[in-house]
Amino acid sequence: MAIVSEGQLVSFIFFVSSIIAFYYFVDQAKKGKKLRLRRLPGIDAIDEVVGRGIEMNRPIMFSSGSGGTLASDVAPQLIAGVRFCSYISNKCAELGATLVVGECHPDVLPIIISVVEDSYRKWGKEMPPGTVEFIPSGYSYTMTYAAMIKRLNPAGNIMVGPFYHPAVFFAQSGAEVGAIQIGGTARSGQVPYFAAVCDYPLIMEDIFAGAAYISGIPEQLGTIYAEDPFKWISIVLVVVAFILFNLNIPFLMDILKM
Amino acid sequence: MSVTVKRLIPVAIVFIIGFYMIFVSYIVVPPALTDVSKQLTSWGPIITALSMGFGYIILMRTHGRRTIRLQKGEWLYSLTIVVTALVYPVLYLTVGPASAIYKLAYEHVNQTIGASIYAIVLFALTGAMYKAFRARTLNGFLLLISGLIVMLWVAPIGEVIWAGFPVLGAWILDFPSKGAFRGMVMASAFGALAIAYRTLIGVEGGHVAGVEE
Repeated sequence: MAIVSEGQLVSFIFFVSSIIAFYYFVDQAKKGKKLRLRRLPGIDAIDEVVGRGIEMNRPIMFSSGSGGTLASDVAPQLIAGVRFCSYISNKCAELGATLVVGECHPDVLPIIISVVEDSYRKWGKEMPPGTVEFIPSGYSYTMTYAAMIKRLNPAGNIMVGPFYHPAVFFAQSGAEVGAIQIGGTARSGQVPYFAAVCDYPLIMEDIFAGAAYISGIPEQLGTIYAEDPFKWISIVLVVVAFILFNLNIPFLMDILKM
Repeated sequence: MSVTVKRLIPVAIVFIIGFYMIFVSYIVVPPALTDVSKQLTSWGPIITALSMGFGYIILMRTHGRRTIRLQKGEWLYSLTIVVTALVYPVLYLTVGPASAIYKLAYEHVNQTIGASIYAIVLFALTGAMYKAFRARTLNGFLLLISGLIVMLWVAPIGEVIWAGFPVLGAWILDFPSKGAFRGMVMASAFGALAIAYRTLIGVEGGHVAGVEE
């Protein structure tokens, strides 16, 4: 009797080996191994955006995306968005910048409120009313957030999360008011818009890596390191599969389907 | 609240449920265990529905306050939201979604506004395209050329100008573009796996509200 479900064997092996790799690199990080990561300009620019907001006496706006729920496949993006929000609200609370968060995910809303409230509490301040706005998702979110950008005239507009068609709308509205914009999503269809319009685009995986990067916690950085061997394995698999497929040898395909 | 309540209990729940769901999806288990996982999955929409209620309260509180205070530049929009947020549920609960008046309010108002907003996205797209097509660097130049070829493939006039545009446009979209996107998606999948791992073991603190590492 098979232990692993049919057609899941290779996926299972891959999953188990990734867990082992994550454990190993997290453990290495805990033991104090110096982990060096390439700089992510989009992340480094967050402090600059907050500073600009204070200098210009204009708010910083944040959006964690415009679709999906925590019970869907975009959950990792939402969690990354919450991490960014936590960092930004912490910076704004510390330095005294005005933050406005437009949140459309009802299930993320309580987390966002709590995260922002605690950031202010950490610096001995009360969260100003109107800092977190709930805007129901859909077209109402598209128009309301874009209109807020126009009305509030923010110094910076940071967007990290699962974005759908509002991505280009928000980015364009931000560009029109001259806000510094950081935009990141792992939804491939929306990446080009952020890349075209935002000052600092975070492309696909950058938002997941960025969530660990801004924390600066070695254990979190360790997981970014653990991704690299699997990326190399994937590259090798793609190249070998390309060659074998063109030689009409189904060997690798058969194995991957196991 | 103590750290136990705010951090340890949520992390323990996420760890146990998360690994249980992974275990059930990979390993052949008795049907009873699979049923439990299905039950757990069905909790997602329930939690979302509950949080929608929470969102409704926040929405009414925020905009109700702005309306009552006649907040400058905001109160009219807030009043619209409050009225709309009251009218739709009342109509739904009293006359029902199949009634003509509800259809008038929803299909003929909400959906029409939605379609109009979606159409406006076109102008934002045009602006984004203009920014993307500024050939200030080699990458920008390549994007401009490939973008023009794809546009001329889709536009009927392209084939009239040169019969090769459809062939070249389809090739750009099917091979270099698709290949690049697949590479990005694969890398993104590893990123998602990393964040899932961090969440499961409680290293990723972003979702645990109120606790900064």
